[in-house]
Amino acid sequence: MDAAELLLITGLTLRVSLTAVALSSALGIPAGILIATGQRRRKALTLAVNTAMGTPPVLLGLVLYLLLSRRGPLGFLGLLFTPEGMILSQFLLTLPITTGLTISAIESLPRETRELIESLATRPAFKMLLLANEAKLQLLAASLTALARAVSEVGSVIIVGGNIRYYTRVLTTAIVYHTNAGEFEAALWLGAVLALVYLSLNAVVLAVRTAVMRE
Amino acid sequence: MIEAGGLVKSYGDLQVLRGVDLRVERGEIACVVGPNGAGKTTLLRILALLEWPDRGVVTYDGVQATRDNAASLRARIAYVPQRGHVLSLSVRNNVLFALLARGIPAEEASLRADEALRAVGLYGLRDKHAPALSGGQKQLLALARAFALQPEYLLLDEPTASLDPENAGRARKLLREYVRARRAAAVVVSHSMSEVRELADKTIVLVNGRVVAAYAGAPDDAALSRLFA
Repeated sequence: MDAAELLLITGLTLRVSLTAVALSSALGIPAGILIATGQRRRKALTLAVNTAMGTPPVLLGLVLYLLLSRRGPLGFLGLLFTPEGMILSQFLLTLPITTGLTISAIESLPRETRELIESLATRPAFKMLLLANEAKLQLLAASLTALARAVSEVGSVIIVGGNIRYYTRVLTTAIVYHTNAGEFEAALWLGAVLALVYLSLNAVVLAVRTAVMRE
Repeated sequence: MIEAGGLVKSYGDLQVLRGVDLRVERGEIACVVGPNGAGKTTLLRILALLEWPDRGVVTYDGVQATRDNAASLRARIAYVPQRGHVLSLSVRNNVLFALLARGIPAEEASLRADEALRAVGLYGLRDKHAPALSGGQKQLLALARAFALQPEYLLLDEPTASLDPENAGRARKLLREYVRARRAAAVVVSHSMSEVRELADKTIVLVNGRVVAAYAGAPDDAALSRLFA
């Protein structure tokens, strides 16, 4: 494996994980706010989301494989063994995380804050915006937690992506490949790059968090 | 007109309101006084439609409040909780976003926000992060936000408790003028004799969740002294 391949693998890891988490945050945060502030079925929905947070990635990968395979009901989408299919699997894996942690974040806001927004905002979009603003640090942490899961996940991306060299191989699946091939030095180097990627993402989030707190 | 009839509210075994009746006409300020734990804040929160009574009804100009029409009724109410809670926004945006959240067009909202901040003397601090304000300034900001909304009904929980005498006087004057000018109805929970004297068109005394006395205007000094003893 040369430097160009390493860059390709790292780039794909970032592209897949960041896209998936951006999508799961865009959907999961509003969904979490709606569930946390809803009157109906709040407990049942929270239970369902919390349960989904513990979904084993290999199980998700298997289900997606069956759905996306040529004979599966979604086979016509042609997503199996593609980066887009991997994004879908990471999105589904991280959606319960962003949703669930958003529910916790909103529920942990002081009662006065929630009631103030409730009494002020008669437009649902503004209510959501004001609540998200109050919980912005927790929501940032929710997205970071989802990102950590996405970057380090291997079970579903290896099944849905197929670990195809130069096309769907990401850092975690590359580590699996080199370990299976007995190339432990390469696997360890990839592990170090993975740790470095995660450290860099954390540093960016920490900088944003600090800036927000200084506000 | 704000009207509450037979309000009963319990938290577990603790009965907080035991059949409270209240009627506040337009252009009128009703002060609710009583010792700690009397149920004053619970009464106000029920009137603000943030809690629902176990029994009894709340009506606004004859329209009975229900969970289904709560959002549309809330759009006509401004509720100022104790300690003047503020949002993690600038002073100006605390008012501006409240107006935008109620559907006020941006240009009008901007004008109203500045006007309200000038009225309470916070215009000079408009760009400051609101949570960094002092307790009294936060209370002034909460009042500015309430007045800027131009509500038909004002519900204020100890609105001047953290204010110095000068600002407290200014806030009361603003409230009195607002209620008269707009024919609004206001309910003010208070622990201050001078506030009740200055504001009350009627006073109800709540003890252990029951209305034990009601006065037209403020009670006389002897009664006030007994109430606030």
